[in-house]
Order: sequence, then structure tokens, then C-alpha cells
Amino acid sequence: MTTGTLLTPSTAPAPRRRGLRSWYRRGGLASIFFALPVILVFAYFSWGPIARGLTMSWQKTNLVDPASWVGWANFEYVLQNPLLGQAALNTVWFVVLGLLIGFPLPLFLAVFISELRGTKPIYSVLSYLPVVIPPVVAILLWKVFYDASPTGVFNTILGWVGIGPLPFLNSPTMAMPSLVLESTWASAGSTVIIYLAAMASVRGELYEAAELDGAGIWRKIWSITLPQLRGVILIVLLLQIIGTTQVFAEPFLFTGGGPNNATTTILLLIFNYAFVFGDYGAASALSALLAAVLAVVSIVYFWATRRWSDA
Amino acid sequence: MSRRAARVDDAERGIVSDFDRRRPGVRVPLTLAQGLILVGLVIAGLGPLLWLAKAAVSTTQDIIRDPFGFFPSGQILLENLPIAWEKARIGMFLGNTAIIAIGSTITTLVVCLTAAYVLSVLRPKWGPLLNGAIMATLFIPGVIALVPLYLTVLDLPIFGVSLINNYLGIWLPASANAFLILVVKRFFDAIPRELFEAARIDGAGPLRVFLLIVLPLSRPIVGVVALLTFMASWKDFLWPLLVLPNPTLQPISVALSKIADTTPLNIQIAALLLALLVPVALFVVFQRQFLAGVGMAGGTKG
Amino acid sequence: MRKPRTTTAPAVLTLAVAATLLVGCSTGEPAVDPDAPVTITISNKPPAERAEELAAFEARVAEFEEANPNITVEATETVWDAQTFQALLAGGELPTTLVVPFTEPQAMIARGQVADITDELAEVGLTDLLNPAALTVAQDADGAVYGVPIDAYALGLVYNRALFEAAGLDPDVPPATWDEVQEFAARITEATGVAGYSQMTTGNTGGWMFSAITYAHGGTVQSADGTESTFDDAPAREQLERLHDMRWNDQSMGSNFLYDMASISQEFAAGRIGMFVGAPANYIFATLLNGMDPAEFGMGPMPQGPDAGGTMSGGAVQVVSPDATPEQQLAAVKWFAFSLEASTNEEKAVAAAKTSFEAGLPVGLPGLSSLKDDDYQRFLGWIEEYINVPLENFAPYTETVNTIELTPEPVAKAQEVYAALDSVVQAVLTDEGADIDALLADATRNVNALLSR
Repeated sequence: MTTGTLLTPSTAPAPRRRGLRSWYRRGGLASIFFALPVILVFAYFSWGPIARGLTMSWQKTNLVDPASWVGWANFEYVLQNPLLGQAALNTVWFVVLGLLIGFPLPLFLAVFISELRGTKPIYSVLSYLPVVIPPVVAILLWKVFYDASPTGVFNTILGWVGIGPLPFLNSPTMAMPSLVLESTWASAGSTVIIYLAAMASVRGELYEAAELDGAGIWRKIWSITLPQLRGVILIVLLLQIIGTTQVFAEPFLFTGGGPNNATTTILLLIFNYAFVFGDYGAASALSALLAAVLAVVSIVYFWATRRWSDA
Repeated sequence: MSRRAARVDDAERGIVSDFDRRRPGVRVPLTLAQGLILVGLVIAGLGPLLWLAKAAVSTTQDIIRDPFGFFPSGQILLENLPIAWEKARIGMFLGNTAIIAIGSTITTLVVCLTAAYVLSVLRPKWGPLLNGAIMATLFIPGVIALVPLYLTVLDLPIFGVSLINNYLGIWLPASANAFLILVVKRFFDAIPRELFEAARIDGAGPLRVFLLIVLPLSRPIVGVVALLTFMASWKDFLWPLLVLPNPTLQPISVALSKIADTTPLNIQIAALLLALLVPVALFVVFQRQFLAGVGMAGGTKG
Repeated sequence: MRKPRTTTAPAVLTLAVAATLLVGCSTGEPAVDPDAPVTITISNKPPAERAEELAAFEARVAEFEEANPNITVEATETVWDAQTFQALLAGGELPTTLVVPFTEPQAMIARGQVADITDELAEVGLTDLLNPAALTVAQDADGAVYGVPIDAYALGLVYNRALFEAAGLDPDVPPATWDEVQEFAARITEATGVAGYSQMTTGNTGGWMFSAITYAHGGTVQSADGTESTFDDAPAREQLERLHDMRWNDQSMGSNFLYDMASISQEFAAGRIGMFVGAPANYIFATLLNGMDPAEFGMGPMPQGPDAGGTMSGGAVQVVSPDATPEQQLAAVKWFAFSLEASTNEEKAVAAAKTSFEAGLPVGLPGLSSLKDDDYQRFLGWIEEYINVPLENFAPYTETVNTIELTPEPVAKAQEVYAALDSVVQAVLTDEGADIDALLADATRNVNALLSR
């Protein structure tokens, strides 16, 4: 990939003159023009509200009267909550489980589906169907599946192979993996589609060349497909980490955070602060802390993977 | 080289070559895997929808007493569907949902394509700054922006208008989607720079390059963005509830939640099934074109 | 000071400035002109899908406007919901009146999110009409009133009459003590294999149930001034040990333990639960939403522990937005009074009952009336022909509901307290080795930290 851009080609020496005219000729106006939609939209509906929300972390407000500044009181309050440690642990556990189960699967499916001749659409559609189902319905269904009595659906199936009735959501240790399973089922389809689109751009000659060198199928996947997809994979991985850290719907709708806080996540805590306890200051403070942690994680991630990502 | 003989279209080949496919050592496991995965996907993907269809025409007692039995009480209540249609005015709500989804898709495409163009192709000096600011929003839990966002929509700064009961109040915030901008940017990054070089030499300005080169090549990714946005918009519930208090403007997700406390379970599920049929059907139809677009991305393969 | 703003809603609601936001301030305001033109927005309008109810509602609104020519009423479908409430409140978009669950008023009063309507109530004559015991849920420590209760009830024991019969128990005689509950539960499980007794445990209902049952054992959850937790003592220990016993020794509680109001009703309607502590509203969940046969639904009073302490009350409260002007507050309270006429005026009562009956909704569901008892009995007499709820199944409950000792929910931070207690109950039910003393001690510590914030 050449290092030039559309506007300053690498072959010609870049003029060092400053000045409005040269900026205009270098296409500066075009950049602003094209960036206008995203800047406006983000300023109004993303950065603005986020900034406003974060300011609330230093305030105490009942949303009726003007807010009062309370310094770090909200942060102290949030940090001394004994539940915070548990929630943090649970969240990390969900992320780890989610990656173990939910990361390789879409990749594998995408690689597989891209190799199909003629029947591709069926597989893609079937993979994506769970994504179409609204979370409320999906979780209602899975709750039925996870019925802990011996006549529950999963327990019946497990009974056929001689595994005893499992408590699923009613056990502090099994609850989280149960949530992860449903969560993976519900979201894998989107990732499959993204990988499929990326795989379409892998050039055929690369495979040709590998075959000439005597590479078998697995070798080709390992040495060509995956490296070519490296950029997409790394980004999807990071986004999955960020996304699963903010898991909320599953704990909320399946278990309400139980049993005994085994599935309480950070987002659930934030939700409770904001909407059940009416403590918007605490909710904002915890959100700010979470954002800071994620930012650090991302920086570390980019630094650690800088050797592997595209320029 | 016998492997390369009689190749129809280079761009279409994937990991497994034609030769590979003819080898029994490959063909058998491949077909076997195909079968197993198909069964797995049918159960995991189609199963829930089939269950919903069954439950939609069952009695409520059947649903809760014996969820997986086949109409144990013997009653098949096909009339649940017309009841749900009328009671929940599904037709009107589906129309609203479609309008919201299409509008969101358009605004999102405009924002994503232009933003990715700037970040990936134009690359001004302040590009990385903009990129960072956009990506940073992925880290913030959406819940804390909820109330401030509502306040913004209520009274838009500078313009001073209210977007309540106005579909723009949904379309515009929906387009601020950092994830999709990232996806499109990645896609644009993969466009060979030689194309832009060539265009520049031919004297094309940034606008022409965008319209005549980038957009035509974007078909696959436009498909992906459109699909993801459409689906997310269909399922969105809390935001439309806040921004569209007028019941005649509301989408189906809000409507369904309202009937939850006063309608028997089987009618609720029937309404849900009707609500799902549209996105599923659209997806099945759209999916073929999407895949065709992916296959036709020959231009970028050089 | 909030800047006044006009909204695009049909009602032109100019919002108040700081003076009316002061909570508890009931003197020193300028006199309110009762005949000045004023517009209020009311909540809980039935959606178009419920055509008969909507028609009846609109007829009532029209009648009210006719009787009060200076008041214009705009109805919205807004209902109280934790998430939308916060946003609406911040945006000043709350309707003038709102119906909130019993668990909310105390917290809202503490946060200054509802209007003080003591004076308006007196002016309209409601203070005399209403049952004083019912008003406590919306009163602050000084006795100022912030809302009017509707749909009040006392918690009791919901049970499945068919399962009782199958276990050889008399369906008209529900257990009166917790010893009997344990015994009956074991018998039901033995005879039918389903859970004999179950309990709500998630989404703060765990703490809610725990508190109610603590009351029944003669204990309390919080000190009267709301500064200290008081649940770490014998009544709580007793109930948790019995719960542990039923779950792990008798095994009469089945294998699923994560329930809230809706899911326990569903499981109950499927015939898989023998008994649970609940409210008359569970009847609606079970029969209307989940198709249970009304003949199988039974309800009795809250079983009592050795030191009987009564039960907990619940329901909904009509409150007024803190942004309402004094004129709007008065108009809103007049609307409350008018709504109550559906219970105090024979013609209106019959008409309302008829509409509900024809819409297929339950009529005559037992509860605690906000009225004084004689007035309530008179009301029941008027609507007798439309009552479609099997009142005889509720007999054990209704016989005692007006005499049983009622304690309202904890005064301070009830939701947080319940949330902390959820995990105590869940632990007992899912972890056989749970140390009850340690759990209670931990919970006490956590809640006290909360209360001191």
C-alpha cells in the first residue's frame, strides 16, 4: 500500500507552503465538506450528550432542581460499594467466556460458508436469523429451555445422554455460562456477515500461489485467509471485548443479577443506580470509571497488536 | 499446470480449489461438515421461529404447561393472528417501523460513507483526531447519555427546535454509529491506492472520486451497513418510546410492550410473530442481493 | 432556575419556576384562584387497542370538564416506568398527574420529585373522605401528603385450589401459620411432584417478600426514622431457616428459584406452584394473561409466625408533578376526587363496572379501598351483578384484610434495601451451605452504608 493519499500523492514532493490558497488547492475544503455530516451528528448526538452525562458524575441532581457540585463524592460512593468488586469480576468472567465461545465460532462459520457453492445463502440466512429476533423474545425462549426441573427442554435432552438435571440459571456457577451461550447465539450472525464481506476481498491468486507451493486446505486457511483478515479480526476482537464488557440485557432479563449477584455486571449496577435508585450522579461516575478502564484496555491492545495490524 | 487449466473465473475461487473438491479426502469431510452444520443452523436459527409460529396459534395454557408439546389440548387457534392484527393495529405500527428503519439507514449511510471517505481516502492532517474522537464513543456505556440525549432532542442547541414526535429525532441520533464508521473505513482501506492515483492524474477532484469510484465499489459494504442498521432500528425500543409519545407514530417494538400487561400470552406471541415476519422476509430477499454484491466485488481484486 | 419552554405537545404547558418546586412548603404562597383557567395533562389514558376502556375514559374526562368549565384536560398514554420517568422528569415533560407504584412515593418525596398537595386535598374535601391508614404511604415525616392511593392491597398467600385437592387438603382452608405452610408444601410435593411453595426473588421482589414475611414474624426491616437496618434478628433468621429447610430438606420448592411477579404468576398458572406470597393483582396475571382457570385460584391471608405481626401493604398512588403550578395542583386534585366518585356515586360505579365487565377485565378484585369501610361495602353492593371474580375463592383473604395489622414499606431507600436483600434470599435457596448469620450481617452492613449516604 502506497503511503500517499488521494490528495497528496507520494510521487510528487509535497509543497511546504502554508497559506489558505495552498490549503484549498490541496483539497482542504473537500475534507471539511465531507466530514461535516459526521462532525455535526456526533457533536449533537454523541459527544455533546456524553460530555453532559459525564459532568453529572461530579454533581448531585434530582433532575428537577439545578444540580449541585459534589466533587468526588459520587466516585467515592461507587468505589466503596462492596458489590462493585463482584460486578467487575463477573463482567470480566463474561468477557472471557464470551471470547472463548463467541469469538472462534463466527470466524469458523464464515470461513466455511465462504467455501460453499450455491448453497451459501441458506447458511448465511440461518446464521443470521437469531440476530433478527428481539432480545426479549430470545431470552424468553431460552428461559424456557433453561428450566431447571428434570422436564425442562435442555435437561430432557441431557437426560438422553445420561447427564443429570442441571440447575442452569439457578446455580451461581452455571448462571454466567448459560447467559454467554444465549448471548453468543444471538449475536454471532452479525459477525459472520462482516467476516464474509471481508473474505470476499481476499485475492484468489494468493491461494493459487500457496497451492503451487503444495499447501493443503488448513495450511491455506492458516497462512493466507487469517493473515489477510487480520485487520478485521483484530478490530472485531477489540469491539467484542468492549461490547461484552457492557453486557446488560442478558443479566437483566434472565436473572436480574442473581443468583446471589453471580451475574451482576457493571452495566447492571449503572442501570440500577440511574433508574431504580434514581441516583444519576453515581450512575455517571461509574460509567466514567468504566470508560476510563476501557480506554486503557484499548490503548494496551493497540500497542500490543501494533505489529500485526495494517498500516 | 493442470490445476490452473479450465478455470472459469479467478475472482470467484476461495480457499478450496476445484481440484481439491474432486479429491475424496476433501469432498467427503466437506459434505459431511456441510450436513452437520446445516442441521445445527436449522435448529439454532430456524427452530426458535418455528416454535414462535406454533405458540402463536396455541392456547396460553398449552404454551406454559407444555412448551414443546404439539398442541396438547388439541386446539389450534388460527384466529389469534387476526385478533393480534386488529387489537395491536399491527399494520400501522409496521408501517411506522419501516419508515423509521429506512430513514435511519439512509442517514447512517450518509454519515458512514462520508466519514470513512475522509478518514480513509482524504486523510487530512486532523484525520487521526477525528478518528480517535469517534472511536472513543464506543467505550462509553450508552445509558449515561440517555437523559442528556433526550434533553438535546427536546431542545436542539442553536436551532432551538424540538424533535419530539418527529422522526428526525430517531434518524439523526441513529446515524452517530462509531462501529459502522469503523467497518466502512476498514473496507475503504482495502481499496488499492492506485485507483486514486489514476483518478488524480486524470484530474478528478475529491467529489468526483467519491461519486465515480468509491461509491460504485462500496456496494458490498453498503449492503452490510444497511442490513445492520435496519435490524437495529427494528429492534430499538427505549428511544422511540421516549421520543415518540404520540401513539400513531410509534414503531412496533413500543406497541408490543404496551400490550404486554393486558393481553393474554398467546395473543402477544401472535403479535410478535406478525412483527417478525417482515424483517425475516426482507432479510431473506435482501440476503441474495447482498451475497451477489459480495461476489461482484471483482473491481477491487485487481 | 429553569427557563420556561413550550413543547410541541398539544397541551400548552408552561412549566413553573423555582417557587413551586419547594417541597413541603405549604404556607406563604399567594392564594390560588379556584376558577382561573388552567390546563392539566393526565396520564394512563387507555391505548386505542382497548376501545371500550378508552371510550369510558374519554366520557369521564368530558364529564369532568363540564363540571369544571375552567379546567381543560389533556390525556396522555404515558405510564410510569423507571427509565422514561427519569428522562421525562429531567426534560420537564411529566404529565401533571402520574400513577406510581407504592414503592416509589417515599423515595420521590425524599428527592423532591413530587408535589405537596396537603392543602389542595383539604380544600377539595378528600382528607375527610379517605381512609387515614391508606394515606401513610404518601406522607412524609411531618404528615404532609403527596399523593392519593388507588388500588391498595395487602399481601397474602396465593394458592392453587386444584393442587390442594390433589394433595388431600381442603381448598377453603389455606395455611394460617408458617408451620402449616411448610407442612402443606411438603404434602403437595409428595402428592403431585410440583413445587409446594415458591417465592419471588429477583428484581427487588426478593427483598420485598423477605420484608413482608419478616413483618408476619413480628419483626421490622428498618427503624422508623429510616436510618438503621433492623432485620438482623430472630424473625428474619426464623424465616430464612425455614426457607432453607423447605428447599434442601423437604425439597418442596422445586428446582427454579429466580422469579419476579410476572414469571411466578406464569409458573403458577401452569399448575407448577402450589403456594406463594403475593397480591390480588396476581389473579390478573394468572387468569387474564396466562389463561389460568379462575376456579383454581385461591387466596388467603398472610401466614403468621409465632409472634404474629400482620402483613405489608402495597398498591399504586396518584401523584402530582413537581413542576405543576398551584392552579394545576388544585385542578389535579379535583380530578383525583372526581375519579373517586366512581366508587362513591352509584351511577358512575355501575357504569364503570359494566364497561370493565364487557371489556373482559376482572371486576370486583378484592383489595384495600382508600375509602372508609362502610363506603366500600356499599360500593360492592352496587356493582354486584358485574363481579366476575370468584370472590368465594378469596374469602379467607377478604375476611381478614381489614383487620390484619398493616405495615407499609420501609421509609428510606426501600428499593436499595430490597435489592440488597434479594441476594440473601437467593443465596439461601441456591447454596446449601449458605451461612444465614453471615448473610444477614453482611446485608445489614451494606444497607446501613446505603442509608447513611
